[in-house]
Amino acid sequence: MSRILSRLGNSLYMVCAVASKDVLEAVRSKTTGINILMAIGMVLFFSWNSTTDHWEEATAVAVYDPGNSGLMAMLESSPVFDPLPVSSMQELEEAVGSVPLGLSIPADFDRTLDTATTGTEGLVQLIGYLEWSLRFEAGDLEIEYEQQLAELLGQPVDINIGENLVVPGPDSLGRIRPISHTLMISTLWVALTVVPLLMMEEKQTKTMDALLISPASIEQVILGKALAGLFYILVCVGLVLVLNWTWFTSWGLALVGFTSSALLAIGLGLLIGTLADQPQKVTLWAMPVLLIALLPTQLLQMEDVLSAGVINAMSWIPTVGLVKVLRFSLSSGAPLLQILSNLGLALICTALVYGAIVWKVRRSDR
Amino acid sequence: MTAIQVQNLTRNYNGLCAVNEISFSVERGEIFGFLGPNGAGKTTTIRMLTGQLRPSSGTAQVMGYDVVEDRQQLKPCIGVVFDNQNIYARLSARDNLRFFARLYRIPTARVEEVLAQVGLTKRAGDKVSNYSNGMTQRLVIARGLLHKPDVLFLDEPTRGLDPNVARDIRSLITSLARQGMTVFLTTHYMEEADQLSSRVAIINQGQIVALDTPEHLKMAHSRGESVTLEDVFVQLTGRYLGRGEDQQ
Repeated sequence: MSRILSRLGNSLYMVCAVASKDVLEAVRSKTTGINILMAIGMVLFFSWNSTTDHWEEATAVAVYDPGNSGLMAMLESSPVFDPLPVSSMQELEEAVGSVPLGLSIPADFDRTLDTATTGTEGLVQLIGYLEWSLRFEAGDLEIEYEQQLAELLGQPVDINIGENLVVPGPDSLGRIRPISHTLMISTLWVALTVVPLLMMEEKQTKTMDALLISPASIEQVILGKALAGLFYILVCVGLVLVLNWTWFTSWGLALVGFTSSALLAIGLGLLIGTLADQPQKVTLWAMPVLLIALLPTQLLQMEDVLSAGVINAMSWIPTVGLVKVLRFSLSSGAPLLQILSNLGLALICTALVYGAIVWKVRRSDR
Repeated sequence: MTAIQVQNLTRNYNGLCAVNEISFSVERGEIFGFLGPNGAGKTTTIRMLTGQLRPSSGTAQVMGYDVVEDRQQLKPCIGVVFDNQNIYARLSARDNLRFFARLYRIPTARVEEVLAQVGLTKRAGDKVSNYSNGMTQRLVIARGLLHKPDVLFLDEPTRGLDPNVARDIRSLITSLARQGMTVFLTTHYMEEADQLSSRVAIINQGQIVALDTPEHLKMAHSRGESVTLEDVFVQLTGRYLGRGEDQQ
């Protein structure tokens, strides 16, 4: 047992030594620095573009109005609100996630409004539903929406949100889709543009020979490079996690999904670096791989219009499964079996990719 | 005691025999010159002896370790100075050596020792990309010496260097051998081989065509005249330029 631990410790030491050298080199490399800065810029743009409604001035609001009240018409004519009518409470809860606010209008709303206007009875009351990511600002938003509705109705309004925080489902059309896709796109981008250079440059400058003569084994060198790649990705893609942290419902699942995506992407990057011997060839290899890995994840957004056969075929692409895992980490109700099968597929593919890298490097002594 | 033992070592590349059943041994503390024209099989032999390349057949042991079976145990025993200056150009000399010191688990103090040994202490913090050819070569040698190997493989260590640096490196090689290090040296400079090596092997088209001390080789090929090691080398391996055929 102690021998195994000692060997593991030794391997970890070697892996960290290789990784720290690669990170130190990256800090001093203009090319890598520019690539990482570009990736950070891309991450910030995607996050900004996909997770906030910059151009929408009106607040989208799902409205359940069983009494066909006059409020609906007022909301429709209001410049402040953009109402989305729904026909049941269940639909209302499903809609919140795609929109930030849901309102349930009591059936007797018009009568209550009349009595409130004439001063015979109290406040106009509505039940509000807020998407989960807004939980920390629920109090402020409640006041803000109350004021906006009060201006619209000419009466004080009480929106009762309380614990009505709605966690979106995995198939929600809301922001969980762009967040999970941004995570995957950014991870693949960094892995396929920066990581291949770790391997290619060692071959180009023949420093790989010096590494393989040293006590470090081929596997330790490759894992060290994977660790350095993980560091680059963490620097860039970690930003996506930080910028969207309020959306995550399961951080454990998010980290498992992110790490699995990163390891697969890094493996693909290292494989490209092993095959290519010039930066131009890296680009030549990286672009088709990026397309194959990303296109199905984009098609996933159009799941409703795709045939069952296409969806079934896509489920065998590991990046599709990993995007789904990332979605589950942002939503309610994560199906364990599907998560495990998606992660299992990704793990098998990752192992195959790393196996191919080791095989290719080993072949240099054949 | 034997430092390197080679028996019928062969290496084929796509049907072409780069090294053909060579056999020799090198004693500890010896400077062994391994000479041959371009493409004769020198670098292939070094790559096999250092575990970088698998022999097609035959066996080789370095410090008692089989170069195929005991590759991992062999690594700490050997130092290699490659024929190309394969060093991390973006890092400083000190960072380069510190990295390899970590891999070999050597105290950092040793880095300063070897930097001093090759005369790079003053410029140790500079990026290697700003180094001259000679300075880079000294750094590559420093890396090979870092872990105090038993056997040092030098693949054309003075190629392209100015006479001053080349002389410094030759003097370093001699002092290393005096300290008991075995040196396996390939070079195209016959005078250098003659001056440094206790024995030389001449390899041509993958086969060893001569193996002896430089003095004995010169005597054996003198034909009554005074000859240099270069004359012997040309006699054994020479090709007529323009004809593309071997001189027999």
